[in-house]
Order: sequence, then structure tokens, then C-alpha cells
Amino acid sequence: MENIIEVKDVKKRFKTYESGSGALGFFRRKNSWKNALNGVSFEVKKGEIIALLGRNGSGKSTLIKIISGILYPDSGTVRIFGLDPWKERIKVVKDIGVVFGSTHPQVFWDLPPIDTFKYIRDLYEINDKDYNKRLDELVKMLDLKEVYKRQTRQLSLGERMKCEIVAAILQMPKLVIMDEPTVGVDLPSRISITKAILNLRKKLGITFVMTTHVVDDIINSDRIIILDHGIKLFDGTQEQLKNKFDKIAILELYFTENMPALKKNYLKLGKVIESKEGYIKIEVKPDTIKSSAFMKIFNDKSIRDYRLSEPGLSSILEMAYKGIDKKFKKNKQ
Amino acid sequence: MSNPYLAVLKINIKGATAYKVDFALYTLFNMLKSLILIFVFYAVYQFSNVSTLNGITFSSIMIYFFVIGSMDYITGSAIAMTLQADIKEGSITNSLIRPISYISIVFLSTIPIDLLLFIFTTIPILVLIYLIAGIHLSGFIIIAFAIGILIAYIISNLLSFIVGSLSIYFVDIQGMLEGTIWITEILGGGIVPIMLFPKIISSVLMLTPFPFIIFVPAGIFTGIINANIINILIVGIVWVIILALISKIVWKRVSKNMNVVGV
Repeated sequence: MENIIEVKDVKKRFKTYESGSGALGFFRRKNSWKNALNGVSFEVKKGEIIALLGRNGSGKSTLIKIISGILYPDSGTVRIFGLDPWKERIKVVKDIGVVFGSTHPQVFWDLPPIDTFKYIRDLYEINDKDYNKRLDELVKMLDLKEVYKRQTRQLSLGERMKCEIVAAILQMPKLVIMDEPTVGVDLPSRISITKAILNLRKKLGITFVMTTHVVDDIINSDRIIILDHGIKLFDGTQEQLKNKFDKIAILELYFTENMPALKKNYLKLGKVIESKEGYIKIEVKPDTIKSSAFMKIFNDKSIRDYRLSEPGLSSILEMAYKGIDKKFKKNKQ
Repeated sequence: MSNPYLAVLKINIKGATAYKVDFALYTLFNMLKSLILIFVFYAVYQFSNVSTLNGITFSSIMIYFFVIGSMDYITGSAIAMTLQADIKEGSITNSLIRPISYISIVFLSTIPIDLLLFIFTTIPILVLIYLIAGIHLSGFIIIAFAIGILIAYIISNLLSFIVGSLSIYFVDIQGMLEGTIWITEILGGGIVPIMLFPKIISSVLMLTPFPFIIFVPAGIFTGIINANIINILIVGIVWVIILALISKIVWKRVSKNMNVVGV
């Protein structure tokens, strides 16, 4: 299958300033360099939905801005649709749609969204027949019929984000890049956005790359890429990510009384993740289940209920991030 | 008709006229500065007890400031503010992803507003001045004034673009912007017509780009500049070329060093 994105050993650093201390701190500020990306490589195939994960400052936004041709990398190569996004900028951006979250909207604030849609139509030289057909479909898909003729400033965040998606899709791009498209968006709008993304991929083979912290967005992705400290730490499917942590199960115990002594009996079963009044959550290894200490649970009358489960995606990501921290600290030492 | 450049023009006309009352007030209050300067010069002429200063009559000064007031938006380009906001808030990302250059988007966003102001402010005021003051306007003067105003507009926007580009390095350029506005006002003839400066200073100033933003077009229209008009306009065109080249070099450097602050 054709590669939509090819990123090879991309590095990017930014100059930052650290103010000195004291009243004259401003005059004593130090220049320093922050490595935003430290040699990132990956490929994205046509029609894939990629969830780009990482904590704030991990390099996600820098990476998507390099892919979009907005920022220049310090070194490394980037090819979008096989083209250099800087040398052949116009050709490349014609086939890219972007949604840069609610902080940098492309739908004009003081005008109704329909004016932005018409602007996109003229900007990308879409003929009236195609424009009307696409707009009808997208408005129906995202349930925007009562919305898109009202002034944008009067719309809810969810409605505005749906309009942002229409503006990104109208030109029928091959690739859509989204920076946290569902952050702060209400549940019905989020479901509607997710459905639209899956639908557009299926119908038109559009490739989506999105940075997100929302677990529901990640579940619908084909592949997960995790960045941290500018380094790619994981690149694979959700199954592959789960397999990395398959030696772990989550045990939750609910006690009839809140007695620390009762909890103490079970602390050695594994690593305590959470402990509160009458409740304890422990990360256990599967062979622990066969141990005599575990068997005690069934006869212990102070235990009201228990639950043994596989970790969910959010727990796996939490574990992954914790693992990253340890690895990073070790490398630093 | 679909055309990317027309698309940017159209959407900005819509944006500029979204709040019509504000638009009308902007044009009205533009004339206040001119009125204040006219009162100041009235006092100067009265207390000096002279009918001309360096060969300029009070009525010429009055017409000069009314002409300047009618084209205030030309002398104070908003491009630097747009660039600063785009870079500081990170909204530049949306423009950099479009199939036309950012420079085109920035310039095409300011042209429609200025064009509307030109039609609804400058032209009616200039017609009124012509009718009331009874100044002599030959075909040559009208063409020279039109060229002068075009040069003023381009130089003002290019200077603003160069200053605005610096926000890549300094993020907040409000201070620099204020400085540029005042330098342009003082050295460009916005507060005192260049002819009133000592000869040596006015001759040196005429070699800089600043008088071409204010003094040259207003001077041609009022008749304060009545000789060497073609030569003066040629110097203005040379400045347009120089500043366009500097803008291009600056932007090339800036886009390579783009950090997109606030994203």
C-alpha cells in the first residue's frame, strides 16, 4: 500500500530562555536549547488512522507541524505523498486538511461557518456541484443542519469543532492532521466526530493523524505512536501495546471495614496503584493468582467484593508513561 | 468564480464589514488628529504674525492636515499587528497550510479594508477639499497623486511587514511598533510638513522612505510639492523595490526559524 507519510530521523530543537533569579533576573537570562524531536522515524500508509500520543511537551505538536510543512526540521527527511513538503508546498498542502483544536480555529469567529466553507470552496477551487454535494453529506454526517448558518461565536464548542472538521474535509484531502480534535467537546459531538472520521476513512480512504489524550479516540485508531522527550517510544497496534503489558492484571478489593491492618495482608500481592477508604487497587502478576496469599481472599470475611481484570487502555498508557519516566531517569543518570 | 486570491479578498471584505458601526466610527475619528494639528498651527501662524512659513500659507497647512487625516490608514498599516498576533497566538499555522503564500494572505487581508476606507473616506474628503478649498488639480497632479498614494501604501505595508516579522524573535513587538509609528509620523511629515524642517534635514529626509508614506502624496495634492515631482516619485519607486527585496529576505530567514510560539 502506498505511503502517505515517510519521516526519517527528524530532529528539531528550539531556543528557549531561562530567567535568572532576583530583581535583575530579566537581565541575567540564559539561552538554552530544547530538543523537541530527537531523531523520529515512522511511516503512515494510505487510509490508516494514527493516534499520536505523549504528554505535553513530548514533541507531538512539533511533529505534526513538520509533517504539515509549517516548521522546518533541523535535520532528517520528510516525504508527504512522496513529495518534499517545503519544495513542493502548494502541491502538498492542497491534499492536506488540518484541525488545530479549539485554540487555532480556521472557521472565522465573526462570520457564520457557511462563509468559511465558501472561502474553502474558492481557495481550493472546488466547483459548485462538488461543493454542494460534499457540504450536504458532511452537514448530514455531523448533524450541522441547524447550525452552520449561525454566527460562529454563538455556537457551542462541540458545534464549532464539527464545523472545523467540515472545513478540513471539504477539499477532500488525502491526509487530515488533527491536534486534539475532541478536547473539551461534549459526548454526543465526540461520538459524531468519531463516526465521521471512521466513515470518511472507509468511504474515501482518507488518512488521519491525530494527537489526542482522549481514550475513545485512541480506541478507534489503527496504530498508536507514543512520543516522549522527542523520542518515539512505541509504534504499533493497540494489541501490541497491550501485549507489552500482558503480564499484569488489576486486582481490586472492597473491604467491609476500613482497617489498615486488613489491607496490609494483601499489600504483598503486588504493586499498590490506589488505596482509599475500604478499597485497594493492586497491579498483580498472573501467577500470583495461584499463590496461597491470593486464595485467602475467598475465605476472608472482611472482603465484601473483589474484581480481577485486564488493564484498560488508560491503565496501559499510565503504565507506559511510568515506564518511560523510569527509562528516561536511568538514561539521565 | 473560484480563485484562491479572490477568496481571501472576499472573506476579508465580509470580516471587515461584519461590524458596520465600528467601521463607520473608525473613519469618523480618523480626522480628530488632523483637527488638533490644525489648531496647533493656527496658533503658530497667529503668534508669529506671519502669512507664510518657508513659503507655506496657513490654508495650505490646513488642507495638508485634512489630506493626511483622510489617508491615516495608509500611514499606519495593520500588517505588523496581524503578524504579531498570528505568531504570538499561533494562528499562523492555519495560514501556512493554505495553497497560497502567507505573504499573499497577509497583504490580501488588509487590502479590502483599506480599499473600503479609500472609497468611503479618502475620496469623499478629497472631493470636499477640492470643492471647498478650490485648489488647482491638473491631470498630471491627479496621476502623480495616485502614484504617490500607491507608493505610500506599499512602503507603509512593507515597513510594517518587516517590523512584524521580528516578532518571530521578540514575540511581543508592541514597543517596536509604537517606535515605528512615531518615527514615521515625525520623519514622514505627519506632525510637521518636511518643508518646515531646515533645508539640510529635509533634503536628507527625502532620501529615506518615511516622507513617501505621508508627506509626498499629501504634498503633491496640496501643491506644497510643486517641482521635481517625477524625480521624487522615482526615488519612491526605488524604495518600494528595496523594501520588497528586504521583506523577501527577512521572510525567508524568518520562516526557516519559525517556532510558532503558543502552539
